[in-house]
Amino acid sequence: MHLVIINASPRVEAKSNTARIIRTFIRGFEEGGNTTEVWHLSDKKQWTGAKEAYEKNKDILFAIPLYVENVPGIMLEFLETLQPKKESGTKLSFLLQGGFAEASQLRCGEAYLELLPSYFNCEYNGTLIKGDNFAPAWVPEDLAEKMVAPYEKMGRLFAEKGTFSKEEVNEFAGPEYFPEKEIRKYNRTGKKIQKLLFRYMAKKNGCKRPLDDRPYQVE
Amino acid sequence: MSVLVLNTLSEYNDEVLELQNQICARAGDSEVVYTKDMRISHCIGCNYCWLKTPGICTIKDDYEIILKKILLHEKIVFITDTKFGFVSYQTKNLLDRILPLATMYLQFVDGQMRHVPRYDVRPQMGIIYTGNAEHAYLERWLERTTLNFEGTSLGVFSLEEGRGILSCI
Repeated sequence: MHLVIINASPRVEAKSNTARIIRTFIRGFEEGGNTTEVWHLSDKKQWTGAKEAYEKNKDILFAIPLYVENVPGIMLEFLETLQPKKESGTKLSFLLQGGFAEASQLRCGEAYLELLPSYFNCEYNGTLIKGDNFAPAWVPEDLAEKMVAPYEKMGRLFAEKGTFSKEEVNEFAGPEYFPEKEIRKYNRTGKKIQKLLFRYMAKKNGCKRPLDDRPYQVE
Repeated sequence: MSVLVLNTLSEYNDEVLELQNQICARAGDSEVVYTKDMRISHCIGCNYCWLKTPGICTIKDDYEIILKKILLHEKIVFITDTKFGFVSYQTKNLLDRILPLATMYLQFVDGQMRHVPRYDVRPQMGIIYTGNAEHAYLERWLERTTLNFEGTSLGVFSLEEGRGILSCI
């Protein structure tokens, strides 16, 4: 199978968690001799190429970071450049990733992706969802690679099955909600540690203001 | 009640303008912003508004005007075109860029992880759309979206049913 992968992240490729996930996914997917081509929407110069790849191919995977409960604005803008397929038989698959860890956080976005292919006379071919993907862009390279490593297996599985089955996706996505015990633990200690971690990340980033600063506060 | 109408339509007709007037008349304190000719980029996902310049977007365009206005009003009504059953990218960009209203800090609310709001405002948001929408989906999406800012949804209305929003103003 030749798979066209469109990275719908607006973040530049070098810092894109979605791009890192795609690279890992491809390692598993190409093992058996499959091929891929990847287009990044963050680079406007690639839009024509991505559009042509959509027109010429029948297996398309959109890899998407969740933005405000759905696909990012940049992807909607790109979709406006596409025409519905004249012939049937094109399959649209999706890989939707987000920062929050619970699988339930991605369900609203997933529900839209189930509706989307019909607007392009395409077939819906499943969505691989998973959260807890905020950190890779902010941690050292080897740790970032470790965090996204499970996607390699999912690439292999997609190559085998040709689709994302709900059952496998749900197992990969992890729990819908955190167990109450975990939430209590987080409220007791996790929250404080996390705050310190965020402050450390901010400081490393050259941040000079408190993270809960209110620059536009009206008195 | 103070209302901010964010009109992202590519063109206006009398029906839209009349409904807008009715919303404003009912609200008393109101403001309408037409975004068609404003310079508003999509969010680039840099997270600087959380981790480098807290509360301030790194993209210097006309969006800052809107962000400041959102803080001044209790209710926000989007008037939007639809594409692929969803709001237009112009409207989605306005909401993607709203992230500076949240902080990096996290908390559990009703058993789900959320960002801690940066300000005291709890936006109430409604949508009026032209064209064809996946209506039930839009309702669900707006509910979820407002939840992220501890806000509430005023509902989703097609332009034909748009007067329905007046009872929420």
